[in-house]
Amino acid sequence: MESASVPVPAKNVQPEGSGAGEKGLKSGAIGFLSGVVIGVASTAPGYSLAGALGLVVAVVGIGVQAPVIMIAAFIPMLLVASSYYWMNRADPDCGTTFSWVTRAMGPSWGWIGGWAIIVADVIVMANLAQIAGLYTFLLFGVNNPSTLAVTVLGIIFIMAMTYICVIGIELNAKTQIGLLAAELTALGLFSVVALVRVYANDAPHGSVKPAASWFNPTDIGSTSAFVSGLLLAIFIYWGWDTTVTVNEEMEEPGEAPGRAAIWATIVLVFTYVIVTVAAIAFGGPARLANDQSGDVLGLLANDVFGSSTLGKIVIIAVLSSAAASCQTTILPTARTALSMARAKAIPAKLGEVDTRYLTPAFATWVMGILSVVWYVGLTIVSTNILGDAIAALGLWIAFYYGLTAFACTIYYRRQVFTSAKNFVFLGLAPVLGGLMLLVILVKSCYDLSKPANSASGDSWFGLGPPLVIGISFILLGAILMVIWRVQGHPEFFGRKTEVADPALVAASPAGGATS
Amino acid sequence: MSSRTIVVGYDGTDGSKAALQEALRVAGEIGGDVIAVFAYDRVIIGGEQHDLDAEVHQHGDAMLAEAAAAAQAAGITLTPQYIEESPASALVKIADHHDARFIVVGSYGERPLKGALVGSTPYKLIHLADRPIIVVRIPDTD
Repeated sequence: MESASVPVPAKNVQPEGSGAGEKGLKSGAIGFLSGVVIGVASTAPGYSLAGALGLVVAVVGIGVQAPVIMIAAFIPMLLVASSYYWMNRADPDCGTTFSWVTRAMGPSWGWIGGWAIIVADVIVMANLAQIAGLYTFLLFGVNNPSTLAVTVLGIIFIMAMTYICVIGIELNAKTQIGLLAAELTALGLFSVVALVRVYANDAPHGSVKPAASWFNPTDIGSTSAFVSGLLLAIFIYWGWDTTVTVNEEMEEPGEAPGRAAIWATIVLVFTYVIVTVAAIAFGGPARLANDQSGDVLGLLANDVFGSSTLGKIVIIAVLSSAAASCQTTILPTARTALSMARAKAIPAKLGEVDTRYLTPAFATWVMGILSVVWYVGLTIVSTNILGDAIAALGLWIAFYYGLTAFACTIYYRRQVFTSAKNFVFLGLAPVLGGLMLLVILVKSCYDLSKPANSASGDSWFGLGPPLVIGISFILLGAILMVIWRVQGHPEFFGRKTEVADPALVAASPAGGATS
Repeated sequence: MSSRTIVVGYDGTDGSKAALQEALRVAGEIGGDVIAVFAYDRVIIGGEQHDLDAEVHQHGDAMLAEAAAAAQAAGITLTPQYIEESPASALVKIADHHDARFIVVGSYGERPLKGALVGSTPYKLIHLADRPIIVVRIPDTD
């Protein structure tokens, strides 16, 4: 009888000589262009603009100054993304926010950081659902659908997207490139036609010609206005951080690191600025500000092209962008839940991987269902969920980005002063980015304590709804964490803070090699 | 002349169990050996990959150990192989490398729409592989 050779548990058995490394198999297949595409698509420019543009213009004191807000909001994101990038390079085997913060600042901070990501995801899904619902109606020519109809469609959208993430579909590179090209072309056409018509005096009443002063930050009415604009605009760059970490593993060995990420950034900033300028010029600040329902881009597109058929191109762009954004939001969040479950920070059930699809299916479904509950609940109690949800979202994003940035410097504190490069990328940039976000967070909380400063103008317990949303979720998180802690779980809560292994930095490009 | 190696896709699901049984049976008949492949196609969009990869790897190793145990019981030599790539191209690559006699996979007998959504591995193999494919349907459970 032939004896069974059982090389148990065989890890990483590789077909010798085929040049097929376990991870290496895929890296060659994904080129520079795909890197840029994933970067831009993760940030979902069409959807982000649809959701936030009107709100930014509406902030009293901003108006036509919206373009400079788009540029300014990018600075803290750039600084924070630098900490993602360099931490990921130095130690690619440790996850992101949850794992980093737990290591650098201890389990409680790490837990809250992971919680912030999950909360942001649940909130943004409601927002995505509403935009997707609205634009689907616009696509079929219904300009003022009822809230009920939009909500029903939104719920269907959330469940469909959750299902797609559960079965782990990833559009192939060519489809993604095609979709993104269509999205950018639509936004580009929209901008060009709008601007040409403004300069030809062919735009509707209320249009204004762009002026250099739109880019002057000192023309913004007040610091409060500036900060609330930033809080909203942070949302439009959200997702860009994943670009930076995903790109890392796609780069061909020997290529300048992050080249794709840099190009993705340039494309994004340009898109945002150009579309913002074109939309304000064509529609006029008053029209953009008055329409806070989130469908301003779709409605403007019909006017710009003077034909609802062409206008539909922009609507389709926003819809495909919302779908892409859904994936890039749900996937990392479910994976964060899985990380937390593996670390015994939350129930193990949330870390379960589906045996067929190999995705964190249970966590994904939980997230989808919570989003539906949140979406329906908020639609019932708030008159303007879109604006308030985005502001609340901004608070959470600022919180966990800031936390991650500080964690980077704390984790690498022994390396910060070892070289000028380390000082800049592991020390200066993260701390500066973190501080900026901290200032935005604190100032926004202060401003939002006055209900009049929220998008809806509603007052909940005498405070603006976004602040109430933000505080409630922090309290809920703290309560849940205490409950979990009281039940024991020393494997997680007993963890000590760590510092980076000096060898990591020394061996990584962050330590010396040029980039 | 191809070898007597049979490559089988094994992820622990019912379809793959049926495929493994068939592979072991054929290997017994022709006096060949089996390579069991657990392929994991990472969705790279979204990042935050590390812990998911680690979890899937653990799961994959456990499944491959299961396959190894089944092979041992059947007295067949089995080499487990964990690979991060889409199942179809992983199977083809490994089969090519060992010049395998057959590739054996399970099938869920999915309706065309769902098959198109999740990407039917048997269907892709037909186009990719230049050696015989054996597709084993799971026994009807309903």
